[in-house]
Amino acid sequence: MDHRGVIQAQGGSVQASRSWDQETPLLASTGYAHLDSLKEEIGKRETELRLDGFHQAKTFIDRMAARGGTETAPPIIRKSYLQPPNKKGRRVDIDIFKGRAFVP
Amino acid sequence: MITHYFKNFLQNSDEYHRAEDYWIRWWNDIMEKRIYSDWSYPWISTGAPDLLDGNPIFSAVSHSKRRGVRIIQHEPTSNKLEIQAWTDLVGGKLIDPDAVEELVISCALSDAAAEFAAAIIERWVERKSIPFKRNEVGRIVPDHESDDRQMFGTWPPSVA
Repeated sequence: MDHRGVIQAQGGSVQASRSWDQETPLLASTGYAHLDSLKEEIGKRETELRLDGFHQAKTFIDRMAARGGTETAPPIIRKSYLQPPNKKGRRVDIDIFKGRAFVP
Repeated sequence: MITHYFKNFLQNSDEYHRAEDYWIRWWNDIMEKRIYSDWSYPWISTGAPDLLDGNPIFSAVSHSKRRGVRIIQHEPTSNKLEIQAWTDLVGGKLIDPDAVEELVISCALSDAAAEFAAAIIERWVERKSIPFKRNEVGRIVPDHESDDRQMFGTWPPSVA
């Protein structure tokens, strides 16, 4: 497949992910849906501990969608969003290993 | 007393590029002490060339050692040392031949953060364990006295 990546909620004994491996670039709307789905999976408490991380991840998707999507990977794109000080490494990660993502 | 550098790097593109240059000099200062010819940078993209968000602000990889380094810089939120580090895997499980072990450091750039980061990176690029201890004020720091090799050199590099 030409477009591959993953969005993850990590740290604090949580590891939840939504990945894609497909022929077409990931839509920004699917990226937002993945974030919402992760929040649902990890629950209210772990989501609240990552509110800044989720907000920053959404902002990244917003910015990429506004410019027509990310650049083509490789080079790989890796974003880690955590708000210092943040105990136990709770964060939201976005990785794009191949192709483009967050196209409008 | 901690001195933060490039505090407004997210608001000022010139300051951002000076911060990028700082990290490159920081890395080259680490590398010039040894022969790591297979380490290259940059390794990871922010997502777009016009996205100057410090995430990451520097990255490097050695495919032969299957190790990588990613530095994320954020604006300081206090006058204290702000730094976190963790390891991750890129490209699959450890048994995958193309997988890379990654050391990620997220920090507000300061003299102390650069020194701390250098101490653990020097161990990481040599595939050594990273021992820690508490210093005289109770802060957890890399225990560079655990062996007889000088690790700090002339840290931090000068600010342009």
